[in-house]
Amino acid sequence: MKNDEDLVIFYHIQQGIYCVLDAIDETGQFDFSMLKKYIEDDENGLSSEASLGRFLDVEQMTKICFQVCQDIDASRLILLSVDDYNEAIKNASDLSELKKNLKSYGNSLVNIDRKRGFFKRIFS
Amino acid sequence: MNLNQEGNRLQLTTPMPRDQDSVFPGENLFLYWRTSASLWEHKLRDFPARGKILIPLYWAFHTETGEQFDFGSTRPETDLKRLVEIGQSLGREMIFLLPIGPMPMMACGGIPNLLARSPMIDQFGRRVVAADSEDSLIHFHSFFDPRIFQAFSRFLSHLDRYLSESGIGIDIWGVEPGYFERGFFVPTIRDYSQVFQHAFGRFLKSKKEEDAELTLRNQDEEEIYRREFELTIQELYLEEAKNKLEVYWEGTRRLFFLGLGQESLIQNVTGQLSQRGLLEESLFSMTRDVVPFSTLLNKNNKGELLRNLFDNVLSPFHHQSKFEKDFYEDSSGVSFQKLGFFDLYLSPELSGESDQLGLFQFLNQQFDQCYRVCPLTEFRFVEEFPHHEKVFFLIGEGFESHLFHQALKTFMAGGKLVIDRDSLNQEQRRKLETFLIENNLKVEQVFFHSNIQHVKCGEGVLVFVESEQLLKIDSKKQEVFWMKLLKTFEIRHLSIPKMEGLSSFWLTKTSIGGDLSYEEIRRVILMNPTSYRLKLSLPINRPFALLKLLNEKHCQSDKRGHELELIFDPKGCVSIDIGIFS
Repeated sequence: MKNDEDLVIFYHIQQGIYCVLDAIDETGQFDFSMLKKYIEDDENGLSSEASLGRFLDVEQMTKICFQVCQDIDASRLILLSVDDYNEAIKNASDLSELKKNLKSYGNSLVNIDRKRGFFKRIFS
Repeated sequence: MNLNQEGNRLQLTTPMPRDQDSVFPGENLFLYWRTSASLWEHKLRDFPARGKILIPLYWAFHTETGEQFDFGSTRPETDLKRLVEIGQSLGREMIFLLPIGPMPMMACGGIPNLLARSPMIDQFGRRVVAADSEDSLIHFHSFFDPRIFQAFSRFLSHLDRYLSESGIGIDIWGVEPGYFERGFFVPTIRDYSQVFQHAFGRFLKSKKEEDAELTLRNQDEEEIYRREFELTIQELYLEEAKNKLEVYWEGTRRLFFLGLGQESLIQNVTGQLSQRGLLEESLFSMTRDVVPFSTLLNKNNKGELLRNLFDNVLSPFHHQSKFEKDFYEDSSGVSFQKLGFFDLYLSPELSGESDQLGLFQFLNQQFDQCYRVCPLTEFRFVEEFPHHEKVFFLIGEGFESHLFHQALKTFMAGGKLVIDRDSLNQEQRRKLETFLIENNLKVEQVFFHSNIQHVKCGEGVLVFVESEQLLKIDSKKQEVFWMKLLKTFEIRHLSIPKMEGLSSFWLTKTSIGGDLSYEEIRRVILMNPTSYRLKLSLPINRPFALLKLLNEKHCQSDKRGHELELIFDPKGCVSIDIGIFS
């Protein structure tokens, strides 16, 4: 994984429930089966076919998404609400601007425990 | 940054001409606003010699305000008469496509910039945009805004006047741009913005006035009414176009744009539209009777395999099937048609990916997607149609009386039909009993996962199944059910062994000239969109015979007795011609 690799997660709030809609990393659309596993493990997690994951509050969503971020060793987790997403879209004229905006409009959490060295990654 | 009154980013409605057209030449789509008028002739000369040239009409390109219109008086690129004349001088037939809904390769979806006031929103509240082939973002705006409808109507009046004064005789098709999501076609007109919600609120209110007991218990029920309202407004636009352009009007068609939709946009942001996904989507859309277009894909997303599919396989469908009839012609001028054994007329809820009856899974497995899904309401008896060549399925809610009559007529004309008995109402069931008695038809009955009734009359076959019983059994049993049932129709098909990643597409033609020992020639195009090697052993036994292999790319073949061994490298493909003995 590259140093600047971010995990970007899109969510929306529906009737007080936080729903993860989509996620991307540097390689493309992120396979979110991992999140489903966490949701199944978490007693407060809700699963639904309409979204990748549903959570009762933002803290719980952030906690689980950050766990995924750590597991895939991404450098940052960026959580984008629908409003953040719309701002990013509104101020972008092409895909590269949109990509830049997506990384700067949401809330970001740095993965400080990231395993940087090659050997550290192999032997952890 | 340029923003309009609502703070939205302004988009150019006077596009810069670009030298390179972004469509595969075989798609025959000419985007006149992207090319300087002085280069039109040069560009059109480069178009493939076959088929009609499709010209999408770009409303906003002819008006900046929605009030004043330019058809060649100021800018030569708006001169449609000249464009048509150039086409005629080159001996090419042209047709105009009038978008009903936002068109993804046009700034603001094609509407004049001053009218772009209500951004379109999806069901999660996200702004709807598309990325065009240059990676520019196209912002869509609500077509539920009455100002857009009024301006559209004005455009149509001016267009009609211009066409008639210029003496342009040309066919116009209304087109519904869209994409597929979970197996359903999503038109670009779909909207959840405030403008839509207000209009929808009024629609619901009037519904409640008509029916005082109407209550919406959940979101799913509300969604049904949303779709009804969406259709009503879409029809309003269509009717307006049809009335205003009556002399030129030919009908409406759906256009599927690869790369359109929220999911594709998100993938596109990372520059990773999957080639395999695009290929599979293209083939899937053909089963839904909608031809795919690659207009929105940038050059990185137009891989070798997709190019091959569009240039060598799908291109005839672009300019012929959708705007004329089902027809395929390969480079040697030999006519092929898409191979299809089944026409599935289903109600909307059954036509998506959920495959509640297990029918798609079975047909994909055994008949390599050689079927077509159509709305149940569109089933018609067609007199000249060779009914014995296909099996028609009619399943789902909305089985109106006229459909029932059409079905019986088809049966009497030698058609083979599988009908869901649960879709019939009491009156239709009574009529059916009378029909069977009056025609002295014998009904055979058997129970196998569902009550099955079988009636035969000459070549005609009528099979009744009960969908409610089928919905209760698991997918394995459903598969066995369809296998046993469809075996009775004795369909001859060389099924391609299923292999993860391998895509196939079948064509057919009747035997002519030197192929007289065969009743029919079929061509299967096999493609490996994966990044790994695939090996396929294809047994070819009587009544099938291997004729030839064509267009081998990154593929090695070896014939051993009755078995054809194929090794596909990544992006490999091959076409195989197979004869069927009488």
